[in-house]
Amino acid sequence: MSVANSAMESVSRVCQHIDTPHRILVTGAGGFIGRAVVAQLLRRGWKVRAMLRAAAVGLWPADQNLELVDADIRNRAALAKAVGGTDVVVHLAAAKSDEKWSEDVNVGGAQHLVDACRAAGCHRLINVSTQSVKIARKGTYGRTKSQADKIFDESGLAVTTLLPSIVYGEQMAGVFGTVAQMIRKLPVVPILGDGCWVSAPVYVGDVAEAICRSIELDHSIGKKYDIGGPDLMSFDELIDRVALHIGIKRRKFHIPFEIALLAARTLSALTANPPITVSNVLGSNQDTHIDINSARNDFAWEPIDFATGIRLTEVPSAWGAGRIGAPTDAELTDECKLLTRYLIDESPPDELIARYVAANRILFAGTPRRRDELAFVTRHPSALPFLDAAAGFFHPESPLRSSLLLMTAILETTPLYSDYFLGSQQTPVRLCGTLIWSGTCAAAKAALGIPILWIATRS
Amino acid sequence: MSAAAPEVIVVGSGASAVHAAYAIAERQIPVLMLDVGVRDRKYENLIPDQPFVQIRRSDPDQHRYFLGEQFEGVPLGRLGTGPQLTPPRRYIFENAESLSPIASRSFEALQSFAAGGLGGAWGGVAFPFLDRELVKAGLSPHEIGPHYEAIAQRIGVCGNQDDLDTVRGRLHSLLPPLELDHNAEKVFAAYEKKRDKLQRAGMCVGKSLMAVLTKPHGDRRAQAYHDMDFWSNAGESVYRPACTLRQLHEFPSFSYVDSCLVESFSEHNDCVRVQVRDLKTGVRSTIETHRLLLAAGALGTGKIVLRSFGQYNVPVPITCNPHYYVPCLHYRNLGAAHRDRCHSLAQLTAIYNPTGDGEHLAQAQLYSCRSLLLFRLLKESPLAYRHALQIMRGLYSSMVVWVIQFEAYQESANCCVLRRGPAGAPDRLEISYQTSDDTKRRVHQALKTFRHMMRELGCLPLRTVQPIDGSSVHYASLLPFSEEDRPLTTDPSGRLRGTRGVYVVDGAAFAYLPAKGLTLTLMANASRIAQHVAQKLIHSEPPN
Repeated sequence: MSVANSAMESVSRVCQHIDTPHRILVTGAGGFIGRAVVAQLLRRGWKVRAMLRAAAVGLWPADQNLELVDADIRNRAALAKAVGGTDVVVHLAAAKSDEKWSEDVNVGGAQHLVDACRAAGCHRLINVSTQSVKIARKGTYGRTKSQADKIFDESGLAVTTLLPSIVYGEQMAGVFGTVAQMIRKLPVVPILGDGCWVSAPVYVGDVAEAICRSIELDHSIGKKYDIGGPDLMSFDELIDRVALHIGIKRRKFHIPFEIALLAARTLSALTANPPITVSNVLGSNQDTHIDINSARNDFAWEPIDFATGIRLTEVPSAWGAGRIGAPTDAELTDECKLLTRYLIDESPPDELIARYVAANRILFAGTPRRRDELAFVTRHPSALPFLDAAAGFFHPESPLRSSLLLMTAILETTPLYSDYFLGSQQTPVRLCGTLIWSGTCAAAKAALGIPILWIATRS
Repeated sequence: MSAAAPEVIVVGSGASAVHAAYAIAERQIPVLMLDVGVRDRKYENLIPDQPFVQIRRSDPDQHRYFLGEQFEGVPLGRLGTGPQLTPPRRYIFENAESLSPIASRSFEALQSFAAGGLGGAWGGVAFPFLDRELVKAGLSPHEIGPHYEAIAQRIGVCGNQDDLDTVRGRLHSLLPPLELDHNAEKVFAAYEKKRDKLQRAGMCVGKSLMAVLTKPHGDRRAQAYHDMDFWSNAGESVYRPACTLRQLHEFPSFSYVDSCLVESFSEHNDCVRVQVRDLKTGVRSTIETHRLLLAAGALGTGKIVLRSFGQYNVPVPITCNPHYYVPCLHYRNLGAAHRDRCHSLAQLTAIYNPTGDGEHLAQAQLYSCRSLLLFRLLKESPLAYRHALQIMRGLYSSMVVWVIQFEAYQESANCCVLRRGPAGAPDRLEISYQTSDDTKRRVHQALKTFRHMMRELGCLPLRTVQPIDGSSVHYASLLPFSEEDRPLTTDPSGRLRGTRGVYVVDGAAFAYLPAKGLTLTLMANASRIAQHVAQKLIHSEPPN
């Protein structure tokens, strides 16, 4: 059977499944993009099998649609088991740092995956590749990913290939994390090359959305899409904008291309885990023409601009980035009930709980969330008034205060509770009494809350 | 796009652009408007045409527009750019950052690529400039006067003649004034009692002149007093440039192309070639015309001109009104119920005349803030949410905000520079802005007097908030009017120096910004220049 016929057959099989909920395997689910993808897939109500390394398994929250699988893409048998029973694979697993096993993971893994898909009758595959496959002078990463793309292209499966530019999204992960850490820690920021390399930084939530939409749209089969943000910028400009955002001014030091390449080669020879790789140097010195219009048109997808996206990276600073995994629906439901009772002494209806959960998913999409005070009040609800009062003075942007603001906003825009917010006529004497009483209570609780806040943030 | 070359091209669709195009189109001269033209498709049909309290009590979908479909109206972290930029208004600033990047550490510039431009978020306060202010801005009072009246009649301005006439400027074509809300009524009554004392201190208070209908006007309705003006404009009682844009479509000589970004122009013999990028396809093309009227907003116009002249890395001036917010507790209304029938726009105007001769005026507007919702106020309070809710609920109806504005001169430290973008990326404007010590001293003294006035009027100032420079969204002076023949200036007729058929019809040409909103003057000036251009075309005069 020719490749084209085989692909058409796969398309027809995929189309037969289009109306049924997908069961999706995500390889590399424990990575930066993988976590955001899994969150978005679950939000769509799809069943997800997240394939990740053993170390990360224990850190994921429970979700009835989520199944965790500890498997290595180099292990044929484990992979075949992971693919079994799924109808779509999102392939994110990759060795990105020119490791000695890059060939095995990127090329061998691709072949294993194709074989496993054929054996299991899973015909749809979203291949998340890289812009590095488009550069002329490739490092190990670009070369192996390029070979992997060829394997997928010729597999006869219904493949959509996405080629993301730089992906950012969390303060401590992706390019933002690397760049932000360099700016924070180093007096001068070293740039590999002349800094003129142009990329289109794209927000991780937008990458996850593009992946989800490519699954939904069968006319993406057989196509390759550049995935980038709407802003093209040089690496120098990227550094400047991140530095401006975090409020630190740093000078840049450009390491000439050939010297940077030599340094990368030397470091790779000396250490197994070098701080810079040959692929880093080559990838950040060769422009690729990034055209996101095909993705925009086919997916009806509009990525957010960098100015907006970079502000979203602040969210983890409030929500933290210490532990992996977004809160589950059950956790958010409990949280919503607790906050509503605290604010207005009522229990929220299901509709409001659903809105609170949805708002959390949208506002904090793809960002893991450290619990801090919020986790503490879930375990000790009686501490909430004191923690809220103390956090108002000492930690106003904390997760707890942000959640209370969100809950207040949702309650205020619900007709059922409008009387709590619209106010009513009162005599000045009664009003003064209310002000004095409420003010005194708030101040007293803030004082009592200080030691509790101290305990909560260290627990 | 019409096959024949249009006689005139107007760039943009904001307040200046639509009135410039109107002056051309009403004389049956072919005019083409090029615009990016972002529109609100999400919220326009979602908001009921009902009073605020009725909506709050009955509409189960209110969270969709009060909080936004993506909850973008919940001001978490630093995401909120301004309380008045409610979710239904955010489309006005959509794509601005990617289409026209601006870099600055000290200045927050807002640009719009929406149909109707920044005018879509205009507060509606209409100020005619005083003669001395017009002269400082580079305009002739004699020429601009008739255009003020013509624009006021076209858009509908309400208000009355009062104590402010000598310091605010006067319009004759006025509709009856808007009704005051329960706070403004008492504040104004207090002013009337203390008028002599306050006037001796240089302070006058009166009802704001507003571009709001108090009587029906064409297909627009009179103000319904629904207190929903920050969220919707049902019946279009508040004037928006989109109203004139709709009227323009009725002229056979007018045509409009959207999704189109004007990048630069060049002149060849008798024609102007305008380079545009189709934002749907990314294809660049050239359109020829006889006259080009630039009205892309001061920053947008400045950028187009600098790029067209290849003036990268060359600093040009920029001015922007400094402004402050002073939230106050109007203690005379403590415990009073909020009147349901009211509007959310400016209620009163106060003008401070420090020297008694009209120099260095400062101006303030009084707003009540119920319709911006309580949760935004709660976020600013350090108290526990539960108690803050009880306190603010009691104080809500007596909370008012004074928004104070000051004049802006060209200063050497305030400039912008166009930098070339890296390969494939758009050029960006870098803005340096620093208020001079002299201005700071004047502002400090005026703020002191304003706070004194507020206390006299029963308003207890709670704090003085100074937003980052640039957030007044009044930008000007990039290509200032000048009698001298200097490059990157505009001659008194509006023609850009160094060109024969290119005119600057927006705020980029204003050499000075008085402490007043400039929108009415922008419209009057655009109408003046376009009328001049139209007359030259009718009499077949060659370009200068």
